[in-house]
Amino acid sequence: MRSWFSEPSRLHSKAFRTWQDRVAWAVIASGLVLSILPGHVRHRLALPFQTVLLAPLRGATTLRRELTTRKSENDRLSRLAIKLAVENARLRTLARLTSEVRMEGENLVRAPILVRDLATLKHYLIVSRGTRHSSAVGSPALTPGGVIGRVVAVGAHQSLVQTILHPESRIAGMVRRSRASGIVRPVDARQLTLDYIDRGTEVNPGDTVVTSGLGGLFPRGLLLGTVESVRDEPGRLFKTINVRPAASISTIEQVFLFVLPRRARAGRSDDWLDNIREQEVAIPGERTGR
Amino acid sequence: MKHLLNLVVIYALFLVHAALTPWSPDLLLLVVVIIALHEKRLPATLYGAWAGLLAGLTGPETLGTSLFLHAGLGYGIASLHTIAYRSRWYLLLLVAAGLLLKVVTGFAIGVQPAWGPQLVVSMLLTLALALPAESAARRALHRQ
Repeated sequence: MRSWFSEPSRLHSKAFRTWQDRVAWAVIASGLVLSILPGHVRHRLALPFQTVLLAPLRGATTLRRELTTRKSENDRLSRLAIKLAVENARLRTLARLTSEVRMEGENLVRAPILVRDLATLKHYLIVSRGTRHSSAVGSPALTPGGVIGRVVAVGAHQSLVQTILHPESRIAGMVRRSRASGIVRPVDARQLTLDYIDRGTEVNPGDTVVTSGLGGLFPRGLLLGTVESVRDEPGRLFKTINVRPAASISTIEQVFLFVLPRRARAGRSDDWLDNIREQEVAIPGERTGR
Repeated sequence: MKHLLNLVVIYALFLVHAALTPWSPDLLLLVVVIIALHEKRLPATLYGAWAGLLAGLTGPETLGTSLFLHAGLGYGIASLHTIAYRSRWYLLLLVAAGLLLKVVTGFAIGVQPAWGPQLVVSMLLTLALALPAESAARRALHRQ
């Protein structure tokens, strides 16, 4: 077995007394001297070396911090962009309503929803507009999607809207294509039905049902829903027509109240029904019947 | 040129070491040991001093001690190298001795972090890297 020290005699040779060794010892000794210097002197000596030699590390740290900051900023902006896109879509929808549904001589009042009825969430809404904002009992409530309901009670700053899904709701409606008129009422919390349509009248699934304007409460031509199914049962006078509501009542955040004429607003509902003039709603592509 | 390249390599390893701390292997100690095995006493001492200076910059309280320790290791290993038989275990023994010396010195001057998983992992990584690093260095130095 070989020894680790192959040339032990060299340990004591003159080979360790060259000028190179002396320089090496001086370097090692300088470390020893540095280590016994006071702390503030060491810090002062280290400072220029730190400034130069640690610059890449500082740069990398700054870059990493900057990247982290930018990433969080990017995430925040992405979230904001999504929020703004949603807001933009909502505003575009509102703009479409005001541009497509032109009320002749009448106005719409935007009314954010304050409260929904806690039992069904679909029968009543309380909106934050009242008589101070020209809301009145009977004012139709609309959204870009279609008819929501009508105001049944009104205060100075709030109105109670009864939706079209309320069991007592009845609205005069008609099939847009065939102009067959009937009464739209709710079947359950999700669906409407169009009553009093003769069996001989042609109605197909997919047909659009709009308000007929009869009764004077709702303007003609407002979207109510789409025919989902038509049943022609023997022994019955009328067709059984199921209608899917156009507006999603459970997801809306605001409605538009249709401002009634001043005379109509002043009187009781029995009085102003006689005075209300015919209100026409012009929808692009819609035949008004005049 | 070779010496300049070695200094740059040590500096680059110092940057890597500082970026990976505290889970990094002790790259500076490793490079000092490996270079000392292939160099004469003065260059080994100077490389050790350079590595010690860099290691001390991150905490100026260890500046002198670190310089002394690394330079001393370089000189000692380069001296021993000329008279001792070399083997794989010899390298591991030197690296382990260097690590132990560093830890003991750190404890002695009160700057060594408490004995914990980070220190153990760092030492084990250093030992694990010793042999591959030495063979890589041998190839590189012979090419030069």
